[in-house]
Amino acid sequence: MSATAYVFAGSNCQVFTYTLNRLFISQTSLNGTGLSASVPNGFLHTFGKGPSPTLWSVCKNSIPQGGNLETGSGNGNIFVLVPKVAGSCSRTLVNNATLATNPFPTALGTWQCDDPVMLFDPRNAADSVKLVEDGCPACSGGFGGDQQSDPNTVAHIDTYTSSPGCRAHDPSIADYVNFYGIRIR
Amino acid sequence: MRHTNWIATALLALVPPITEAQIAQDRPELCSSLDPVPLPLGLSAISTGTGTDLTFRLRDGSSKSLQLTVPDEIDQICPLDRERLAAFGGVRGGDGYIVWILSEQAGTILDTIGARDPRLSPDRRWLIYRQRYPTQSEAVFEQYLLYDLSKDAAGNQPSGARHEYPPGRLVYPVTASRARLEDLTLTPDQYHTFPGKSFFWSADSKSVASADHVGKTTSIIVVRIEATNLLRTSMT
Repeated sequence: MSATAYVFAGSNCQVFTYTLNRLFISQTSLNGTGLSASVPNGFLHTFGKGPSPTLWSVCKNSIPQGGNLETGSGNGNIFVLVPKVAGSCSRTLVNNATLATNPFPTALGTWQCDDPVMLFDPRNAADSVKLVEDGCPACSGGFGGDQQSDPNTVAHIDTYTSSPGCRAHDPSIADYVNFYGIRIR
Repeated sequence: MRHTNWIATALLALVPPITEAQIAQDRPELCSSLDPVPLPLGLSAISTGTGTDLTFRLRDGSSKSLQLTVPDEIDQICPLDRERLAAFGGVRGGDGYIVWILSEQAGTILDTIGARDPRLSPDRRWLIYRQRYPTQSEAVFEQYLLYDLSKDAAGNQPSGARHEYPPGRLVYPVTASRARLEDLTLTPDQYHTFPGKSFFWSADSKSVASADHVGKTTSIIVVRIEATNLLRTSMT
């Protein structure tokens, strides 16, 4: 169940090929980012105008034979190598300092990449200023499902954590509770 | 005791769960139906941990299985004409759907569509959707695409395309010759977002509406599907 993945390693558009698990390739292309022990020196990031605009502009005419662009269904097998996990703004995410929003940040949208958001705790004390750097598909609803859920919450913002926990609602990842966010622009 | 539990958990994690999967059939609105849509006879599903195996009972009494990879489960199956089915599988994290167009007769995949907010028209001739870009990528544009279910997979690709595109015809934003935004240099006024929760079809399947947001302007977009198969878009 293996397949070939094509990886652009830099702006010279040099392509490296790797034989990886077919499902891993599909899930990584669908998700946008993945980490494989077989690929040294970085993370795989989906290649395309949206996912990797900088490299797309210089390498779009150098797509290798056998390479498929991602069309939205996990069918892509071309990636770029990035040093760290990037969010939807294609910038590095920072533990406890960057946010993910819904709607996704766009150039002129409700949320824009690098928007600072000042957080106040439930006692109305200023907590921190964090930056919007990612989109959160599941943030259009309340943060329910556990003892800390709030039925009055109609949507929420996620803070990025570098915790290696990988289970949904992992108990090692503490809920940030109900902070109030004010966008500063 | 705690150590034992940890080992058991680890072993479970190593073995992909193989369980009877329910095809929920709880999203009839994807089929443009207000009423529950019965699951076609002869279909069954098994969750493999890496996707869902969908088994068809074919006309000759034999059966055939397809592996529909990646999504957690099949939310809805909509019967189409010519013994075809549209299967909607939810992407993990609630980030859109993979829509498979399947041949019920042959038990094969005819086309695969990555979509956000897909909606079949009431006559099930059309599928409108937002192009699905990877979850961890910048949403540099929104494209609303219309898949013509009277055509095959090749018929839903742009003519003369040098590589595969998300299938269907670009209906919004309006571009010259319906050129895809991937192939254009975008200006800020082409950065559209989708502020609504859905597309809405007219009962006669001749129009579909949605909200659209550009800059500080939110509009209602109405796409009219003419009998000549030409599309016209208007904003109000």
